[in-house]
Amino acid sequence: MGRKAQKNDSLPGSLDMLILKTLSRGKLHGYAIVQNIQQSSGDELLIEEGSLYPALQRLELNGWIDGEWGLTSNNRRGRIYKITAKGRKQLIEETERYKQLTLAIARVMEMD
Amino acid sequence: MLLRRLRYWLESGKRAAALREEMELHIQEKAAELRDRGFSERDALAEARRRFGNFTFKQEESRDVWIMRWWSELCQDVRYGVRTLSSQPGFTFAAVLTLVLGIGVNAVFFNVYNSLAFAPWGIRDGASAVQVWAERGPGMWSGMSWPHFRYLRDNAQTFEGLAAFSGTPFRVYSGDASWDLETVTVNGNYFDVLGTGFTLGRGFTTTSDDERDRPAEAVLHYDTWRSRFGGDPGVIGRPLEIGGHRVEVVGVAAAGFDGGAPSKPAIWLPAAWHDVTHPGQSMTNADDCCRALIGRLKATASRQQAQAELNTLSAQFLSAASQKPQRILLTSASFLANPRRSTQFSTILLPIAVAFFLILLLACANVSNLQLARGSSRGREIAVRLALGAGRGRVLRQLMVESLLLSTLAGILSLVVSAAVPARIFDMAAGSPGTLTFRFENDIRVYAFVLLAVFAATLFSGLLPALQTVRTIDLNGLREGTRATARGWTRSILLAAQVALCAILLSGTMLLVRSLNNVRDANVGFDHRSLIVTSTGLETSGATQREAPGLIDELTAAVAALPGVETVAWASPIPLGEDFSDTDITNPSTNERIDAGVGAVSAGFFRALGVPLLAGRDFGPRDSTDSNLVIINEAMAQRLFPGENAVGKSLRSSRQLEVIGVVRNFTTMRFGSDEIPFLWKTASPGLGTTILIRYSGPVEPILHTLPGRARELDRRFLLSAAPYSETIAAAQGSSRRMAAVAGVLAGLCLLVACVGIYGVAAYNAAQRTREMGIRMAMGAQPRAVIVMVIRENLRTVIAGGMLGIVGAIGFGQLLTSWLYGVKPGDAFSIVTAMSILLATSVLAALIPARRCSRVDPAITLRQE
Repeated sequence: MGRKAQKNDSLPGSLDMLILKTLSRGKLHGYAIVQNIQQSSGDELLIEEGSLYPALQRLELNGWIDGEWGLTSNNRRGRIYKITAKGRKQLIEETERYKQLTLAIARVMEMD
Repeated sequence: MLLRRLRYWLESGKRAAALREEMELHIQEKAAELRDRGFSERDALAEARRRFGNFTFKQEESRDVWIMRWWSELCQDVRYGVRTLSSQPGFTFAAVLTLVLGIGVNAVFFNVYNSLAFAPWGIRDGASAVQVWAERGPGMWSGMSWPHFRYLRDNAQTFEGLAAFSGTPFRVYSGDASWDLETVTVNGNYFDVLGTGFTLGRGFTTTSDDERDRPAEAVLHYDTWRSRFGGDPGVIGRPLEIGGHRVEVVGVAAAGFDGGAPSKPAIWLPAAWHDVTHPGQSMTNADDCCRALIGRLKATASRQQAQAELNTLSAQFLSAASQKPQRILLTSASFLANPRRSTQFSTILLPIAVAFFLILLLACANVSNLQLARGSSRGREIAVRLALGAGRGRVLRQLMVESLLLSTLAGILSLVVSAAVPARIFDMAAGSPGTLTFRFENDIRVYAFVLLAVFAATLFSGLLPALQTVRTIDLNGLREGTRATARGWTRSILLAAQVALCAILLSGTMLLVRSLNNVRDANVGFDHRSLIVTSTGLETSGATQREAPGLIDELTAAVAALPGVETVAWASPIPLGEDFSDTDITNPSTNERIDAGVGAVSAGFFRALGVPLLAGRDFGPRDSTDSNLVIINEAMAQRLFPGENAVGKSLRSSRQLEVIGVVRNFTTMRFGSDEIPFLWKTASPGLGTTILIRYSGPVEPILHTLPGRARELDRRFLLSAAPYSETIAAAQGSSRRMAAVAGVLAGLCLLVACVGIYGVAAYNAAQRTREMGIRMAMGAQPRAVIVMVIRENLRTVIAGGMLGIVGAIGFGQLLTSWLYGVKPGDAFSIVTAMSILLATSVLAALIPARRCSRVDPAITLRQE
């Protein structure tokens, strides 16, 4: 029926990496992840909030994060996500790849 | 990963709810944050939702992560398909029934083939067993003699175990009872190699393989134990008598163990009993035939190695025994594994397989027509779906899923058919149930085959109509309805062919039914009332051919002395009995040669039958039993000696014969064979001779005393006596079965053709709905419309019917030997068949025609 996935992040796959990074600092639920990413980017990165959930499903299916029901910071029932050992390894790999990529782009853009 | 995906999928419902809750929470929190920033209550929620994006879409996208979309859509299609099909029960019924026919005959056929070609008999681990064949003549693969087997068994290194067996029906006495049982003689480790254990007792020991030693032991088949010994747990040690020797039951084989013969064993004996059950054969004769061999290879040996080894050993043995060399072949353990059988059967099976595949195609073509008709009447629904944004691929898939549902349902029903039908057919062919060891079970191969057939049927019956439906319907369909497509010539030709086939089968059935009617009041030309037929049971008793004349003479004398008995005679074979031989007869003076039936009879045979001598004399008691004197029937006399007196003339067959009498024609081999030349000799009676008894007064006392009287004479007699009318009924039975088979086939064919006719008529009608609407708007009567639609369909039917008449006359010729009192081109039969066909076709076309006539002209005009 002709619908296309809308990608609003400039670097494909970077959302996964951001989520993993955020979770590597502590357990969080969905809303808090978005908040966290926005705050730590100095409100530079705006995530389409809905896109978070497909990404979370994907990460969980890959076994990189683990979700459990629990209480959020303001005492509501929500799914709290934490990063797994496999997820940490993945994060290191992705960070490495990201570094190489940005370096390469920077070279092309002659920003050195 | 895959496992996790599967778990996610299984918990899909729970997971979707969790996801929903999670996303809802997100929006709530966002809204709370926005409220803190000064948004009003209502704006906050709205803004939160706006920033979140399309809720449902995101939900779908998240679900897609764990459920592949095509799968969830497929589930939708299946649900939708089930709803559609159950809302049209008439269509569904017709389509499924047609497909059951198409898939069913193939499933039954494959089940039979599977069981013959692959399935090993009821033995332990049949898949790893090998059969050993020796080529005793070119292409004649069979078993081997005992010494031959023993040499192989003692010297082969590649075999873990080698079993030999040979079976025959034989008389077994137990107390006062006696039965003819399938008796199988086996070597000592037969049960070790093949067996599945024992319900009671034990098997034989290997010492029983010595020809000088004949252990008096027997093992019962589980079914024999149940049926003949009532499942008595104390049967071990029970004495039995076989061929005048005593044996003791030592074991009952485990239920389901059948050994390895196509005929189901009833009792097993040690190998040396072969000489008793096969009079004239010997354990020490290297030329005797045949023990079947089944063995198991050592884990280290391949079949090629074993075959090479056995060939070498066999050559050694045969040259030492100064026999011609025989090639050895190892095959898997199944009925068709024997190369001779497999070539015989492939010539039979292949044409049947092709024919059945054509039936499947035909059934699919008919369902395809039905689908087409339905597709064009569903045009509106499909156009709406397209307009609402469904992709063409999606609609196509939807239609295919419906076809798949139909075929699957048909496949399941076909499995039921294939589980039930083959055993019935084989039991009917074998004459009594449970005598063969084939098990027609739906095993993994049958399931795979049916699955394949289901997919094939889906493609053949669904793809074409689905493509055509999707292609011809576009968005304009919403406004205009559908446009007629090109005329389907293929459809008409297919239909005509079906009708022709139907006509042939129907008229064949009519011929057989007419013939049956005639047979019922047939005049057999002899007086079959007050006549008793008795088989002696000597063939399986262990008596030798040399003893036969003495035994038969003794019996006939004793029977003649019974009160109420008028005449006793013997014959081999008897009129309307089962086996008949024929021979070439030449008139030496004219050299005219004819084919004639031959029988051996005693003096008094014609008197017992009540057939008058037209000339000459009957056999007398003093006619030497191997003399050249013959009596011929009127038909032969007229053929070879027209206008002359045949008595005293000589005939030439394998030797010179002299005619001493001519009898009036009467039925000899089968109904309607009165006019076939026949000659009777008088020879010494064999073991298979049948006794004929003419009596007066009530029949019961004679039938009652006969078996007991015979047993008093010699306990090897196991008489089964019955009035001659039963022999006649049995002879009629075979024509009745033939008529039933033809009738069933014709009925099925008629059914398939009906669906075909209906499909084409419905399709054409749907195509012309608008035209009919206009016609009716212009004043045509509904009746006229109905007549018009039916007439158009009848054109194809009549064309097919004409073709069918030609075929029917040819088919009748093939049936000639089954027909009595009816000519193959019998007009009545053909006309009846055609009337049935026409009436059915009109009925089949009536439904769509009526639908056409009910078109509301106003609606049609508005659509234009």
